[in-house]
Amino acid sequence: MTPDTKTAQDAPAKESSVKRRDFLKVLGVTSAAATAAGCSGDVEKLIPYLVSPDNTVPGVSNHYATTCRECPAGCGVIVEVRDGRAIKAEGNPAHPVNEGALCARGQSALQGLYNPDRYRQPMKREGDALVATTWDDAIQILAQKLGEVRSRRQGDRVVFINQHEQGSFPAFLDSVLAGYGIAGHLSYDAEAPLATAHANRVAYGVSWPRVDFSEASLIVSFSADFLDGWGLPVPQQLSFAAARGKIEGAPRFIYVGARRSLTGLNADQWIPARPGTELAIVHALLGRTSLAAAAEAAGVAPALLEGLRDEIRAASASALLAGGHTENSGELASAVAELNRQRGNVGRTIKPAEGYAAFEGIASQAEVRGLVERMNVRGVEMILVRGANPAFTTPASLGFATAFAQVPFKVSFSSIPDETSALCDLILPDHHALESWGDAEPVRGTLSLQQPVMDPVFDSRSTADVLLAVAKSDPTLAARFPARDYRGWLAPRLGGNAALRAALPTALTRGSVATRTVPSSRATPLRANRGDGEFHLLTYLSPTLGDGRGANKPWLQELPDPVTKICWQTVVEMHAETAAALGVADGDLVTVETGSGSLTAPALIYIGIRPDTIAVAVGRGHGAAAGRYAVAGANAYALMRQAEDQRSGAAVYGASMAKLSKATGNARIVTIEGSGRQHGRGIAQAVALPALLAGEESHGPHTFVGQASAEFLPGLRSPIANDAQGDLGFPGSRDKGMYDPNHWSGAAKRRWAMTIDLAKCTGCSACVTACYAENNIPTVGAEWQGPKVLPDRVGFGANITRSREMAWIRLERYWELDREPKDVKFDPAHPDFETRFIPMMCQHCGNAPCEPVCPVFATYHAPNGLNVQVYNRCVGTRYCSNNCPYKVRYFNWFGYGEVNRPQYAFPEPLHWQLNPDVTVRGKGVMEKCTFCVQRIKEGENRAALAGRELMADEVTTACAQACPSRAIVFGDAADEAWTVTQLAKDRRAYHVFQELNTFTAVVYLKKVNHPAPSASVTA
Amino acid sequence: MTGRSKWVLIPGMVAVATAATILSAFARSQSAPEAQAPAATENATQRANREAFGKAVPGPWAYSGSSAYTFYVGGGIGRSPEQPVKFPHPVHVNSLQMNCAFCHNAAGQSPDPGLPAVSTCMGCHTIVGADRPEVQKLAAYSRAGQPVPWARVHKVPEYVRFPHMRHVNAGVTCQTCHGQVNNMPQVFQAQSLNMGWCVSCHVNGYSPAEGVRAAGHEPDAATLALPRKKASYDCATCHY
Repeated sequence: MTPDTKTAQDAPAKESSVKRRDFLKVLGVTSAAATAAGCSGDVEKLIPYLVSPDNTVPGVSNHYATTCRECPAGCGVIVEVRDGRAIKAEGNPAHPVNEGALCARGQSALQGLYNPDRYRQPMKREGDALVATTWDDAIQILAQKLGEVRSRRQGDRVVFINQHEQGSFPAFLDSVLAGYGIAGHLSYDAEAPLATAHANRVAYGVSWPRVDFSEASLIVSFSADFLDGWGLPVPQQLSFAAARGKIEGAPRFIYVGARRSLTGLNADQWIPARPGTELAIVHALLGRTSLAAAAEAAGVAPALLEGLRDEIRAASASALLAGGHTENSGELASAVAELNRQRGNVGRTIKPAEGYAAFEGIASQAEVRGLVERMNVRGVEMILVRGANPAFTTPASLGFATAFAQVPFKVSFSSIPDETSALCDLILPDHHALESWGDAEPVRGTLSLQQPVMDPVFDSRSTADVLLAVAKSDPTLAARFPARDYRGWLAPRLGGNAALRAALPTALTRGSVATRTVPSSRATPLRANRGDGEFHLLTYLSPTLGDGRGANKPWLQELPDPVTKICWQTVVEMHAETAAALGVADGDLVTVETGSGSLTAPALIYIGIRPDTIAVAVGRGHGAAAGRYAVAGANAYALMRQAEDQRSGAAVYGASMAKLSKATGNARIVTIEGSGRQHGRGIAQAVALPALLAGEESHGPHTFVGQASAEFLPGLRSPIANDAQGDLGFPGSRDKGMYDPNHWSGAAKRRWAMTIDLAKCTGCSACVTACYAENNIPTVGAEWQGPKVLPDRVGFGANITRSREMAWIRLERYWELDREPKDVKFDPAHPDFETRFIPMMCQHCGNAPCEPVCPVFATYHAPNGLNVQVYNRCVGTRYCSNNCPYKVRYFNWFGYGEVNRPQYAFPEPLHWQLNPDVTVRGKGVMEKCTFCVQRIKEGENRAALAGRELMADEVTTACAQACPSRAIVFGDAADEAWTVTQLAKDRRAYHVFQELNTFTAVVYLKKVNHPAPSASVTA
Repeated sequence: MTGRSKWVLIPGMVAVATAATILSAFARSQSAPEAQAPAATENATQRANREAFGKAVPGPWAYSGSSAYTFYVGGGIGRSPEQPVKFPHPVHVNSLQMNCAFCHNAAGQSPDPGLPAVSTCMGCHTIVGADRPEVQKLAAYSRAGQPVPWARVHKVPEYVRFPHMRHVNAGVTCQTCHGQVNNMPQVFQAQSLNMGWCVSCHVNGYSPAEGVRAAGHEPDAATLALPRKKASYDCATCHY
């Protein structure tokens, strides 16, 4: 959809005398609700509005611009709302941070909004149980407790932990707290890269300078996982992909770190330094120590570091980024900043003048530890928590939960149950971010507004409104807070009501948020023993689930980790050599033991990790309190030692030593991956830059005896086998088939096609979640969806172990190896290997193998180039899937979309998100990518209403819309005005399996490798 | 469809269709009363419908296939659920000359035709006919802040996308699909809404003159001169 049609409507009028909730009843019946009605004589109801709201046409979407709150970046989103229900979140093209793109986590905000485990009303503790109560009662309890705090002058014994967020709310919160004599709140974010932010503040004066890769000729990441969620994921990825997409003059990328994260896999070269030794390498690069000593410490060949040094020296501009998982991360970041300064990168690739405020004012781990110590000595009388879950996201060895439980009165504002709220005495469920007002200042001087996109799903209340109600009930405070609600408090700060309304269509305005005073850290960082054991243990933040906050969303649980391709499961990653020494294979249970705790989980062989290092992602394995989805997997926080960066006191994730032993038994690996290698099939192709520039074809066509000769012809020029066209077969149009504009049938007008630039694709998988959201794709991995029909497969992901996932688009990840990963040896001199990512969905073949084998013509070729699947015609023979060379057809085995089946994927109210424009498929039906035909139809309907033709690039698919790399482009290949037509002519273009004469509508552009300047030219 | 498979498939389909027709007729003969004669259980609406159209609402129903109401004969022709408020279309449309789009105003802009909001009804009925029992029922809903739970009459299956605005803007009269709602004391389903019925227009074309006749008017010369309007019958036009 184009920006002009995505203009957001005005905010729901809260002042209206009739409540929106009352009249925004759904008109008509949503797809999900009616699946049961197909063959019954029951009378369905048609529910009209009570009062028709302005700017709303039943059955036509409204779009509300707001701000994403899934991480502190503050991306702009546009939420599509149909008949009062939010159905899709997309990036706001006008927003300076994300420019229209949105990551998987941002899109999954909808599953937070409609999460079936959300608190449905306020709760209070009676004995051991939490029981439902009314808002009046809950607010009165809170007001009374806070009043007692003030009258007893116990303000310094009360702590408010708020999720870290930008905007005015923190200052508002502090002003309310101040009324009760409580000092500023603790802003908490377990994911924030605080060590780097702290060093940035010292070196550059801002906590997070903009990283601009466009001018760089070299990128070096020292364990900075900037494509895995570290920092500000979307803007970093946009800049990185744009730079790499330049092809000529694109930066070469070197990753230094013990484990290749998704960022590491995107690098042209990997220098596998031991955890924590990145600092030694940077010191050597600065000339402070010798390279040989650094190489010795890092456990890599000196030649690798010499090459790194030479490349950094030779680079005209480089972007050097520091992350790190150990206690010297802050020092590392400072040293890298010094290196950036020496190389003249500041201002060119590292731009402090265009800094982001996302990581300002976050409490360090040292402060959290200080709080735990206070709680342990009964120094805290009352604690309030909103949006944060420190009982889960702190190392178990810190003992947060135990200390927290000792606090006499605990209040949670969490909207969804979690480990922290389960310990609380009073629950005042907050609105979801998509139901509440707010603001953020993602870029200095620009305000990004947050507005409710729909009426609350449950009987929740915005915490800001609750605090206002509490303050108003207090005679001494009431005068200070005259605003009726938080919107009323906010509006004057944004220039008044009129200005607020004017800004809402884009949710962007000039200005800055109220500032707050950040309490200084009272604790000094802890230096602790790293523990004993022979392995370095990296407990890393999951790229999909983060610190665990994504674990209650089935989309994110089912989204395979971009690196390991694991879903719904926690695995212990180890190198093939390690596994061989231990005598384990993929899936064998192993026990990891640290001084803090132990964890038993299946082993997974991963060649992108040092043999002396093992890795476990955090985020899974919540307690039962956190809901039905979050309990999947095992909790790696149990293994973590309480460790802090020595300079900033930031949380440190990978600083433990661990023992590894084989346990009895094994488990099936829950993965969608078939083979990790291409076996010479040329699915994801690459070309080395020198070869590309020289005009050489590094990957020749795959030849076999009897192969038909097929010249590569993208888009409209793809021929269609005449005999595959049936009635439309016409010798005069032999080369173009029915796409020939002069064809007698006159059927052809458009040829929908797609290009995917593998030089830009980072494998982040945002496209996969976008597809789930757009096309009502069921998740299949929840615990209850498997056992009833698969008694031998129990637990999370049972269906996936039988390849019964439904992902219409999958992100394939291939290792370029000449042997199986389990046979790979680690060579410190040549540790590198190449990885390729390729999104794979229905290729909409012009000459599709699936079509002629369907006995009921349920799949056929439409004249506009779409390979259509007609659900109501499908009888489920699965011949098409059998005959598809791309394996992109998915069979709905168990009626995941049928409400009465145990495998039902959308428990109330998750089905509120379902797209009314797309059929919710039932059991026994084959499904696959439709090229978002409903979005094409929507565009055509819109154009027809306006009495015009579709404009170039007016419609796009959900995957292309979301892509934070801008790698996917969709359009009409029969019209030169569309971007896709131009891209399909690129010299890197190829079709997957073009030797099969399938004449696909998806054109891939080869990945481009940037070999080291000294290396021989190989791809 | 290739030439050869056509000659295998078409006779097969014909055979299946014949069997279905015979079965359907058998089922109906077993259970259905004679539709033309007034049944003993006929209610006032059915009687009114019979008087207006020469046939009462047929039923009980037997299996036929191809529409959301597969349970009913002919895909539900004549299906007429009782409404919570007896809204008389004839009074509003025929006597008061109200346009369909006055209440169903989304039909020309949206896939969904829309129902009038309760406030739209009350716009007139706060005063007009406020003493009548049916209007009082309506007022009671309005006072209680409840929408009127209208019973759905027309429904295409879940796997069909039917964009009203494309049809309305192409000039298809409402009565072409919905029958002469303006003469129905209680709305019933006038057409089968099954796929064969849809496709007959998409393939053969919609005749504007017939559409006007369906609406109960005689087409003028200009309308008679209009050609039939065809539409795409690609499966993905409606099924996705």
